[in-house]
Amino acid sequence: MTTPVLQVNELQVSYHAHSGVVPAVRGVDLEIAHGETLGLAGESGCGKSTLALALLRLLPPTTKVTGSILFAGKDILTMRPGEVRAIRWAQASIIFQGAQHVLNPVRTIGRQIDEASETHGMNRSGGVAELLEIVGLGARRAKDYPHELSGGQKQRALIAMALACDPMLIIADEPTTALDVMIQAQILQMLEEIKRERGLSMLFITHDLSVLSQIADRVAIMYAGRVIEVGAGRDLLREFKHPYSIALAASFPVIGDTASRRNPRGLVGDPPSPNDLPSGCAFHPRCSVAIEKCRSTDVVLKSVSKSMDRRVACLHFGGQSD
Amino acid sequence: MRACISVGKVTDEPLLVCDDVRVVYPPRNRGAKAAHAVDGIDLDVRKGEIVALVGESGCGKTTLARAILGLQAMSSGSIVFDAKPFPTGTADKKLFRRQAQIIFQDPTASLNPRHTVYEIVAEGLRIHGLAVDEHDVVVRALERCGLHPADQYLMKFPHELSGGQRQRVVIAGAMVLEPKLLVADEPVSSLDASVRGEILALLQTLAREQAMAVLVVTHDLGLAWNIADRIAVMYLGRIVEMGATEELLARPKHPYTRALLSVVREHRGMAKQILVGEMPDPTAIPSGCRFRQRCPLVQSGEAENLGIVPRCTSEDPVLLNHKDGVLVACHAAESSITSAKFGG
Repeated sequence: MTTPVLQVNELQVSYHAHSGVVPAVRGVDLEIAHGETLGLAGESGCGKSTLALALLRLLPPTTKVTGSILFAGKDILTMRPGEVRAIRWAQASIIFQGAQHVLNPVRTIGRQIDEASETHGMNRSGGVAELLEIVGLGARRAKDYPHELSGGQKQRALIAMALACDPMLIIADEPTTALDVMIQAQILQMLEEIKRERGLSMLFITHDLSVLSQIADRVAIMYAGRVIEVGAGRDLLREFKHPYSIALAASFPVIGDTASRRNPRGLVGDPPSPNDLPSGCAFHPRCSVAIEKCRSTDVVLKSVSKSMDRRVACLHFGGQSD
Repeated sequence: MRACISVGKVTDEPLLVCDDVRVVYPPRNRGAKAAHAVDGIDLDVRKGEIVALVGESGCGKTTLARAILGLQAMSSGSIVFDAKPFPTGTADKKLFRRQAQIIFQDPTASLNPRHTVYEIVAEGLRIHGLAVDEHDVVVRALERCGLHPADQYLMKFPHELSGGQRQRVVIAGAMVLEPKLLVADEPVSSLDASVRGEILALLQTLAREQAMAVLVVTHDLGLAWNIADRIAVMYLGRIVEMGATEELLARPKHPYTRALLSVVREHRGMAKQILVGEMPDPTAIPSGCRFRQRCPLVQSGEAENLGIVPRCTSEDPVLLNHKDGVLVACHAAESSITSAKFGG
């Protein structure tokens, strides 16, 4: 087996707040192979964006990050700042959510894309014009300012920027969240094509499970700073095993499914706050199948069966530890 | 958890009737064109009914909602509320503002950060001089909206609540006034998925128990499937398709509805129909059918085969009644039409 593009081991991230240490990511293992898309789904506050920022060491210096983040075999956490800078953008780039806040309002789109490749020491042959064509904006848009573009077009510009240095890995943090469904479908289709043509790997972060069926090869579900279920995309999205994943999936209505008609479903209560996590399994206060043991026993990811690449962190799924 | 299932029934009495409502924003500067944000809408909402107004951003759905609430002046058309013409006098307007309430997408922005939950919910009562026993009314409203025991929440500030709890407070603040119409503008799109269902279930229960008409403005067809009795699909200032939820989502007739439905990934078994480009500007509405430049029927040549292309280019389609009760504004869909023009 070849080295994965990205391998994250036991990643822990905690913020220092005046109320004390706030654990945002609590021991996450992830792996992304060449050309693979890993979908990372979870609700706000589950630590998914913190995780994305930690991958390229973009968190404030007071943040405590432990574990290892192996990018093409080298640990990002122990690199010198210069080495990390060389990886950022040139090898792994990020598409942030909320394109309107990311772009500089007083610079043209072309200038900003150029800046990305210049800063990171790459000069692409085709340059800005080619990138804009790839993302479906057209070369003449290079002269436009962000306010002259619609939300979907801005998101396309950001994608062009992320591609500027031919990275191996793209970290996409909610790239389609603020967009209308039709524009969202356009962008996803385009990302899918770009990824296939260039053999890119991708970490696709979203709160919307339904997006993942379209784009992810493997899916990981996060809750309260942990991955609580992971498996092959299609298999996992067809049948969730963890009670949280099941409840989360049920809150996305299936049009035409009579069970959800006039019967919106969700979960009782709210996601826990990271500075006040429940004991034992963090999900137990909202879980419909929680037993006494769940209050006290912290659960880790375990394989559910040997044949499938499915692991679940739940007492109800004993399986074999790995 | 299973949500409460409806108790009451949708009545036949229309509470709100919009007739050819138009909102035109004048040109910003010389040489610019006027924006026809709402371009002739006929819509009615009955007591106890939940109607979802579905469309993409920029289609005019929020402008229409604002016009219905009197927050945006209409350019032409008329609105009848509770069998009375739209209020103009001060006293009538005040009564209307009690009877028609709105909740917005972001509960955090709707709540005064320096007011306690009690003050927020009681504010409307005070403005309208309503409550004999204010404390009692506030407590009951909060509990009805799922915040119980209410005592625990009364003295809290918005920042001490979660997003879902905040939206419940917003809804309680609207419900103390016992509105006849509730306009909910994207009520759950800023909330987490797991919380979303609970809030929708609450809206559904309130609509039934109070025989309150609810107009949900949303881009989310899944939400409409969850709670709406009827759906109106808007495109560029017009309703292009309208009908009972089950019928409309099972057999969408307008090519725009079909495309929208096909890209909602929750909807399986439908080939994806990703439209090219974006919705045109309301300052430059295309001639003929406003959807034709992006219409899959035109692009695939199907319109050509039907021989309707000249009509698509020159004739603005009107909403026509289909035999299953769905109204559609499309020349291609006209073949299965049985009755005459809607409302005509």
